[in-house]
Amino acid sequence: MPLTVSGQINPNRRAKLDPALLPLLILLWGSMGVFVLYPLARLLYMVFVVDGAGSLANLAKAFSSWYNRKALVDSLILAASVATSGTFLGFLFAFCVTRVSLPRAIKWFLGAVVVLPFVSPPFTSSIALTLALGPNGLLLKLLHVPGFNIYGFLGTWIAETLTYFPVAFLTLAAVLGAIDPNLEDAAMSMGGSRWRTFRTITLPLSIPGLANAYLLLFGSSLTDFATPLVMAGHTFPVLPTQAYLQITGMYDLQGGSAISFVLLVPALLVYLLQRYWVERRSWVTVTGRGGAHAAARGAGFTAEALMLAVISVLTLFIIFLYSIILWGSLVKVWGVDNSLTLKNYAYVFTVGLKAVKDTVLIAITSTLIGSVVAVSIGYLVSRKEVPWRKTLEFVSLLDYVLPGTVVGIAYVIAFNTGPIVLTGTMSIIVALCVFRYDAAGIRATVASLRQIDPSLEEASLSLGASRKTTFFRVTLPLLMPAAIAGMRYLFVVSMTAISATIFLVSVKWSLLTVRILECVTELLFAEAAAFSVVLVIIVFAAIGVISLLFRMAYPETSRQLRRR
Amino acid sequence: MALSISLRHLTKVFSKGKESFKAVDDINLDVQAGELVTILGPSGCGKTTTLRIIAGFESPTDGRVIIGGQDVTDQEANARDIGFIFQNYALFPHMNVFGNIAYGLKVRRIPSAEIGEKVTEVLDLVGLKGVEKRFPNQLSGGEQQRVALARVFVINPRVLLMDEPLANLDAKLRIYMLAEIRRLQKQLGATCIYVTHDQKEALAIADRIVVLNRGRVEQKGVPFELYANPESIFVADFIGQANIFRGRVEVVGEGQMDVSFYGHRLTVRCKQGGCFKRGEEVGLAVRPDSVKLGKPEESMLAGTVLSRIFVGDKMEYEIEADPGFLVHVFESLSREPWAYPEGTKVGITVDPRDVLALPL
Repeated sequence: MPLTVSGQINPNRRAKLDPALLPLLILLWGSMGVFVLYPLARLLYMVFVVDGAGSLANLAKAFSSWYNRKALVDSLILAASVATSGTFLGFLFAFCVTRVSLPRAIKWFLGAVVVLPFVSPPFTSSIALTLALGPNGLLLKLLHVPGFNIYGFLGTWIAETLTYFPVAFLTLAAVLGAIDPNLEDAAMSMGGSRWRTFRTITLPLSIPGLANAYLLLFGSSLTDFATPLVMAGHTFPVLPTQAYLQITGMYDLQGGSAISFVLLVPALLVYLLQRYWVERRSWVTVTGRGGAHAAARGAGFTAEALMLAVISVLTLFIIFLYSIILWGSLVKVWGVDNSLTLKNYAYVFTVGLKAVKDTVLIAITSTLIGSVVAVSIGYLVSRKEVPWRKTLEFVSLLDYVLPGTVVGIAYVIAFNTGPIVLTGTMSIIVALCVFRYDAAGIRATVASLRQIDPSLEEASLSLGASRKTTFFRVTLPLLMPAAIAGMRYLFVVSMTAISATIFLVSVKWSLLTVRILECVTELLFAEAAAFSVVLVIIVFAAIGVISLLFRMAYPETSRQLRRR
Repeated sequence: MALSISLRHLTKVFSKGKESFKAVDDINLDVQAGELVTILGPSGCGKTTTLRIIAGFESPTDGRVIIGGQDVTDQEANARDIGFIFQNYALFPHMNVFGNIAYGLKVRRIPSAEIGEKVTEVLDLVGLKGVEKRFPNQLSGGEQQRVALARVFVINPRVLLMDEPLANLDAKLRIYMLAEIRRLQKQLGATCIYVTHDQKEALAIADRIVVLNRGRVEQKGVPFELYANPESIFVADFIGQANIFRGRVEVVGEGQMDVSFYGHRLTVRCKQGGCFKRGEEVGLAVRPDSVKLGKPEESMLAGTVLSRIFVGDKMEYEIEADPGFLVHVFESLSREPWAYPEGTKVGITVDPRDVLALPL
């Protein structure tokens, strides 16, 4: 059952902005001016203004180095490879879960395995791959290939594919799930074989979804900072890590900014393609009544057997890697002394305790502020006549679209010097999390408001309720699922983020992900693994708590959601 | 060549966890070659599931599907040579009209020159021209419906299965398409099973109607037979409309019986299947247009007019009879429809010949 039932929805109908909301609007614009536009302006100034005049000298200088040019090419090659393999695997998983008749338990299990990379810190697959295939690697010893080198393109590619294919899976599972099963039945009834039906109906209808997944993965890989830092090594430089090393290693803020700026161009291009080209080309429309009972149709025995074989191997591999992390966190020295110990966890809760506390505090604060910001922006842009509405929406999503490295560097430039100095404070990290990761909440809010007919609010007004009462009694409860989704996302990414926040940590405020990175660079893999396990547990616990609070606050809405 | 269709003890159980639901319960049916049979029933009665089992989209829990004397129960949908019209048409959104109609022909490896000819021909047949290049979302509901028909007719299936094909059309177009579908079906000579919840649609189009209720066959017969001689209260009320009164069998005679009804004795026909026993409680079904209104003192029962609605060709009265139950009466325009304003005391009379005794 849908949450709301209505005939004609006109999402473009907007009410006049009442004066009571004006302070909120000013506050939002003000904070976005300071935390979104101002840092980017400072970044652009840093890159393009030399001695008070516009100049391309910084860009030219950065790319006069062959190493940086190689980093650009490598970044693009890596992104294309990860997007291809990730989309392929994501489609296989999505197809098996939505179209092949498998026992319920197995489908649930596949779904659970796929979720793991989402809630894990960004280094998890890299650490696990290193423990398995790196020096002293478990698999290498088993297979007797001592000379194998995982670092470079291969390792980065495998690790990023494992990290990002779930994104493709979720995108494609939604697309495949929305294809009217009657279409496949129709093709079958006209004599088409299962394989032909798959080839001529299911696959073509998934193409917009495939393109979307490909672009999402391309963008994610292009801007990924954590994986290449661990896996890529010196032979395979990529832009995000180059920008970071330029700044932290050579203290060259200008050069780092210039490199990160180059990253910005393809990232924006991918975003624009995805937003304005692919999304317009979707065949999938959710029709009122689909097939009576959507039965699994599959793709024919041979194709299905092949697909299942591939995803079984992949699933086992993922489970293997996660077991390695767990096991690795419990041994003394990986590959040298494999006796069990809890000393790594003791390390996490003594030496690392401050990072744990800081991270949780920052994540909670960001989640609370960010979800309020997200619902406010989403509500204002979709329901009110706001001056500069499109601009407001664009600016609110800007930091999310831009590579984390770019945003992090912009923050460093903006808040190290000048009128507002925030370096070393907690607020700078929270501000970044709020304005970079509120995007999911904004999108969810806008999407659910598109499903909620404005006449519901008009009905409440006509029954004599004030605008305030209407918002709190009608609109907000309907928006809760979106707010919860936004909160969950905010918390998870605030806990696991690194690409932008790494520029902002200080002695006073540290983050778990940064501690993990430090352990990895000092080759303390067991401690890194223990940190990762603790982080995953915290994230799962927090997701549980958020869902529970939601269920207690809105028992009716949550029951309806579960029924769907 | 059209083929006959037979269903033998067809049963389908859907189970979800521990709950299970019998959607189709031991259905037996024989459809002659070239016949148009309507499966009629309220939503959730199992009619669409039955149709999808015949098509091969679902497999039955038990029972057999026999098409043209051949048991096809274990065959896949693509081996059965059927044409299926979906309620939402299921036109392929990524193909234009030509691509949609040519799909079944390409599957059959017809040479492309011939495909072009056949597509033009079939579009002509369903009354659409020059729309080959358009995509489904550029067509109106009625045009989509015709493309769906053309897509099926072009492969000349021996069995035609239709799942509420007119449910998404407006009232006027529905009446027109009803006649069109019947014309095309007869012209092609295909055996057709047509599923609907709309009794008017079923009465208008069918050679024979099967009424389904809760997964079971309530009654089968030609349309007039079902209307005139319903065998259950469900059928009496579902096809047309009926007042159901309670009565008790007093005397059982030869082909008829006396039933007591609020102090009156009515002599009513027995059904073909036999009479009821003496002392049994029965339901007395009377069509609203068979009830006569008159002066209270000259009638069987007195009552008060609760409401009346003028619907154009007749006046629909709701009357509270004095024993305390509601009676619906339709007065046609020839019979003084305006004679009884709300609140008037009126008399109600039924002719025993219009009364059917049915099991409660």
